[in-house]
Amino acid sequence: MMQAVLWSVLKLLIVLTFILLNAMLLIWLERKVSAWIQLRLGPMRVGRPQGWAQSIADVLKLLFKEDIVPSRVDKVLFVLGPIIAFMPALMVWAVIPFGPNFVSADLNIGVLYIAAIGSIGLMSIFTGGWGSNNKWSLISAMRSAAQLFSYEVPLVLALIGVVMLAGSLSLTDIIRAQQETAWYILYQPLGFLVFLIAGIAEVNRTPFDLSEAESELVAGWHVEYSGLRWAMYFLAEYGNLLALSALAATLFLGGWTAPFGLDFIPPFVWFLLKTYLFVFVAMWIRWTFPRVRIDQLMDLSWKFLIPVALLNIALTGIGITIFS
Amino acid sequence: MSYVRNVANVVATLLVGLRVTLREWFSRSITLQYPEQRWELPRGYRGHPVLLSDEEGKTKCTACGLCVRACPTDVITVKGAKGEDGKRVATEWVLDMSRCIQCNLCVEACKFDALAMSDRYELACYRREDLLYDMDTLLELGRGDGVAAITVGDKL
Amino acid sequence: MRELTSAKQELHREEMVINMGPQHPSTHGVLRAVVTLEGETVRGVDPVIGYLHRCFEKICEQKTWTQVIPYTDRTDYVAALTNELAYVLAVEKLMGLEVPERAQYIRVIMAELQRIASHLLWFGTFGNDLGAFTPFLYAFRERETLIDIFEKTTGARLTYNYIRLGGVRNDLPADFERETLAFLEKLEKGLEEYHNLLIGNAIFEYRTKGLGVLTAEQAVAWGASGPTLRASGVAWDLRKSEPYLVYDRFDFEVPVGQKGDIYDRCICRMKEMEESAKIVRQALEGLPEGDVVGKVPRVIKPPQGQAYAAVEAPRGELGCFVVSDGGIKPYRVKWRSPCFVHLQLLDVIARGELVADFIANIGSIDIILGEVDR
Repeated sequence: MMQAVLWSVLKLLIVLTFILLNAMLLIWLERKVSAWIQLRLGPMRVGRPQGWAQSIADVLKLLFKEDIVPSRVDKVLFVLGPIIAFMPALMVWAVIPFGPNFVSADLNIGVLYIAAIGSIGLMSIFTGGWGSNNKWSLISAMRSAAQLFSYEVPLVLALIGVVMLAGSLSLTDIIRAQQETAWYILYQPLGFLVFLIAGIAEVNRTPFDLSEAESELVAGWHVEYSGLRWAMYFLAEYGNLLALSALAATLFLGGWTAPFGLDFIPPFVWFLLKTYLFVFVAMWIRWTFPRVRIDQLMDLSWKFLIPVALLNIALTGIGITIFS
Repeated sequence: MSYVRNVANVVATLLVGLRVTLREWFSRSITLQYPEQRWELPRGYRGHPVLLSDEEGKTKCTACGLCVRACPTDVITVKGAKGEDGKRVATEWVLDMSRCIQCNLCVEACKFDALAMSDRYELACYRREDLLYDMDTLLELGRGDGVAAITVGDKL
Repeated sequence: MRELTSAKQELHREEMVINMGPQHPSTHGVLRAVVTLEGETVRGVDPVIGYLHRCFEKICEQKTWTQVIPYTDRTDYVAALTNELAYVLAVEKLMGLEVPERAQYIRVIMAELQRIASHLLWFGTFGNDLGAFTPFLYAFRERETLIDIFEKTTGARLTYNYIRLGGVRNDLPADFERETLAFLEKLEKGLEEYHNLLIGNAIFEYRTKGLGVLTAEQAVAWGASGPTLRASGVAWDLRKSEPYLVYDRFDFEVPVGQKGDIYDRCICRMKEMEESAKIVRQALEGLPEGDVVGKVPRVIKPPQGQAYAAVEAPRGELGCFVVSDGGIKPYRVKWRSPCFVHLQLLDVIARGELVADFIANIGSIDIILGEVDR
């Protein structure tokens, strides 16, 4: 009994370290990628080469900053916001397989679990935005509520195609199914497109970063946050991006399986490579497009993504009936 | 049908945008790593006014006060006295760099070629008083390399 | 008790007054806009100005006629050369000064290059307003080359103090023509890239088309000028309609929009850059030899009287009205700044649209607060 508890705690710590380190790496990477795209160099000073220690320095700095809770805020919600923000980013990792037999909890309803966890992210923005007692964050909270409700639907609909093909809700089974046939991005290009768009909207990145929208709402829901709390929101944002990328790699790119018989590279590395491929795509998109407007965002979801996702489900159904 | 065409158009323009950023992603950055790499200043860069000296290293300024009158922000203080040879010579020439707008009007006003603009641009200091440049400092700076006096009608 | 239940039945609606600025990333300086919102819809805009007021006009009365020139740089600081031009033209009109032809050509070249620089900055910041940060740095890459040319010619990168009464301060540097032509070629490539990246982008079109509409009547009634007016379909360009300097010798077109929406204003500006490039090319070709400063009296004392000169600044009609009492200092300098006029349009064009469009509207009229407040 004792051993099992210790083992769980250890696993949790490993995952936590993994996410935090990766989130910090992602922050550095985002700055570098944006700089490279924008003909700049990005951070170069803290740590050579290429300023690799910049995120560490930033996090340390933020840790030592004064913890400010503005006087007129709803204290409970204000404090709760950043904590909730971290939850989905951590919890998703419970079911994601890093390699064969290398998964914290192989739930047989993994996909459903992820869909459920994903919507918690909304709560953090909403509690933080409402609790801040600030007009900007209020608008931001309302926007993100509308946005995340609308994008939850196409995201889940896009996953259904994958689940239909694999015949299982367990992520490990989905990977095994892909191992037998081929990556699902080949069978599900429409589903992947919907997943990509809805996913980027789900993690609040440009062109769908309406709740942050620094040119309109200054910084949206985290206007009033500073120091460690702000850092938690920031890390959570990248934790979510990482989780989304891992999910994309698992569901559409075959997870840890090695393509073209390149088996000598360990599965875990393949998993990371695929995850980071998606991360790069997300960053590339972020630094290319202007932001859409809130009503256009709704239009995109209800008038394009959901019909396409439904069409994808229908096509998948027809395909399964014909070929099996 | 127009719906499909619209979607195709949107996707096409977005892909064009992505191609632009992808190309720039792998092009060279154009920024300078400032303290190590430095921008080469062109001749005639307007830093702040400095005093030019003659062959003997003395100031050419005669304290006539034309520069004082030309200055839009009143940052120049000049005092002069009769020198040994009976000519008027500046004894004090102070520039208040905290208010100088580096407009070059003093250089243009000077009739004795005693003023020029230096190419200094790192002017930060810790104390406000340090921004008061006296005559010796300005003379010393005026012996530097990047000093140029460009007045109205000059050719570069 | 009865009151309570009736209040419960009625959905409570309230307009929210939100203070956009003076510290806000998209107010282009220190504009404060008191915006009344109903949800996300803008119900009223009340621009509050004056945060950058530096008593420019009053200071001018304390300075000699020459000393005013560096001060004009600091009104519209992204197009300093055009400001100098407006002031200098007004004083020259008052004094009846002859300006050598070469100086006039140089003034045209510099003014048009300045227009390109200003529009490049506008393009970058407008992309930023829409949430695309990358075009900003691409625009600055081109602008940087141009600023280097300015630096070589005038000795400064932002506040040039280059145009003088009776001409310009100094002649163009030796390799000016080569560098400028190289820049114009670079600009062509850059403009294509901007189109691919932002202007031609579907999201951009969705964000700008049909929004912030300013009809031709409204534009004229409010006194709009420049690209803001021309986007509404009124082909009014001082370079064509009241040519100053030597603009009548060049062949160029005035881009005109149709709908007067944000998109048209953007397209007008983008096309203006191409037209400016055309003018610069022609001016460089026809650049005559000669002096760059005419005969100017040692002490500048314009005769008693008044004069008004207007130039087509990047943002619109920039007018300068000077009054002289015959002394060494101006009796009065009045600045007619296009941004000040355009700022008042905000309420007209942004009302009834969303917050995001309000930001796009501010960007599309291209205000510089240094010029609004002066």
